[in-house]
Amino acid sequence: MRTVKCKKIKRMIHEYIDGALNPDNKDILLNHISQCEICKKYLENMEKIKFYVAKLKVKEPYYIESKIISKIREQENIKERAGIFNMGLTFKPALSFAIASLIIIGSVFLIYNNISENKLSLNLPEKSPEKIIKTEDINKVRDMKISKTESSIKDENVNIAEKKVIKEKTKIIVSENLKTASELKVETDTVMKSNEPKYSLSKVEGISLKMAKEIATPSTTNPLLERDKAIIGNNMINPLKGEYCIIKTKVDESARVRIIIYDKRIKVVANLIDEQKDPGVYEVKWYGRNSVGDILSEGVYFVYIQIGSQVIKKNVIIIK
Amino acid sequence: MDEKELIKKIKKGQINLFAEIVNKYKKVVYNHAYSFLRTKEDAEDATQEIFVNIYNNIKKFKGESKLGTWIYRITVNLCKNKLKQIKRLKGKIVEENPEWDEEKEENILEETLKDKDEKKPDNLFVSNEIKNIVFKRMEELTEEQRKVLILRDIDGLSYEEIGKILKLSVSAVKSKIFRARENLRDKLKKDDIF
Repeated sequence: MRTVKCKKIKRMIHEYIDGALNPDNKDILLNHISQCEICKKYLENMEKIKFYVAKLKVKEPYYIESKIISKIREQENIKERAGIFNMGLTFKPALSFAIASLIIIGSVFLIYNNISENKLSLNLPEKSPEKIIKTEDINKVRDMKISKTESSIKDENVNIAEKKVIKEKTKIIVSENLKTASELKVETDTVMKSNEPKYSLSKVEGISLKMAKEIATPSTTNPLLERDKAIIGNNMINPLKGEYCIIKTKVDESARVRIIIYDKRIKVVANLIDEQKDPGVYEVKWYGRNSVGDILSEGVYFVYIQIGSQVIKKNVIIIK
Repeated sequence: MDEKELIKKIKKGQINLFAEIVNKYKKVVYNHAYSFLRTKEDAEDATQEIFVNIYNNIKKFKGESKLGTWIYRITVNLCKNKLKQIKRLKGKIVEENPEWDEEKEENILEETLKDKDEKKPDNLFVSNEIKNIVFKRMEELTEEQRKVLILRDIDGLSYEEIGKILKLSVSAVKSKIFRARENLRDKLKKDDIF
């Protein structure tokens, strides 16, 4: 009898520790526990289990929210682009219908014209040579033929002259086009060249406005840079949107400055700077590309900054 | 702004407000995904996928149930599918040493310092070693048992809410929790925790 009761009590214990036991059963349970050591132990164990499991909480990554939002934004952008495309698709049947009807109307018009022209040409011989032969006025016919050939020769000459003019014009246009094409090529080459990832350490007088805003120091000096000797502005970038991070370094004494980007496998992905520098504040922009100019995949990248014998390590996150 | 109003505005096109939902539920969703999928990488991917799913389906949410319940249902289903996918791809799930939320521990320690009279010496601090063992043993439970235990004890949901999410009756939820805890206790006995 007691075991049956204990079995019921055990079930009640779970409801009790979950705060879901009704007051009447709670009294029964507490009364039973005060007398039954086994059930008391069981309650303690179950409370412990519940407590242990409840403690299995991990801290979510600090960047999870921005990762989710950027994914949604990316999806929205794709949808927008697809929307424009779909709009085109919805208009396509109407457009194709219009084009088709135009073609049909056009071809009907042409066919009709051809037929009427044919009719005319078919009528002509009926009217002229045969009738002329019938009237046996051969000379007239000859004269007519001669004048016709003369006029056709004239027409041909005019055509040849016209063709020449057209040819010359085309040559000019072609040469102009070729010129613009070559100019364009030169322009594209220069653009291509300028797009190549070239990094240089430019000296900045004091701190740029962007940086000052980001670290919220309106003055020209930057305590963070003074203290750390290297700071990174905008350390979460989306290279696809052309975002970049600014790596700032402060060189106190003339020293060799090296800035290398490593991935999480500690593999060098970009060697940004390796130069001898005079004292001053320097900055370099990194567009999330490797040394050959390819955009890097999502993840954490380590920025290794060496100023003389001092080494500073920073992180940059690439999101897409 | 209450949730109903928030959803109304998101449905009307104020999608920037979705960040509020992400902010409110990211912790529970990530924790659930982590308890279920057991690696940081998979939990991260699943959390992202869950919120994108919520975002894509928010127009279908009619407010018949609570937003939290709806989000949990999506979370549970997606984690279940993801687990199948992972098991198929990786074979066995790779265990890793979890980074437990230390902030919580500090708060609890602070609380214990405040309420010295009420403290229960053995229960109030759980070392990372114990957490690792409990975490590992939980994987040995059946999927259903693990699910109810995560929803009840980690996420803190009521029996009714768990029932709605898992489409089970309250009594079925109760007996699953009962069996899950007993099963876990038996496993932990072998580790000399009890």
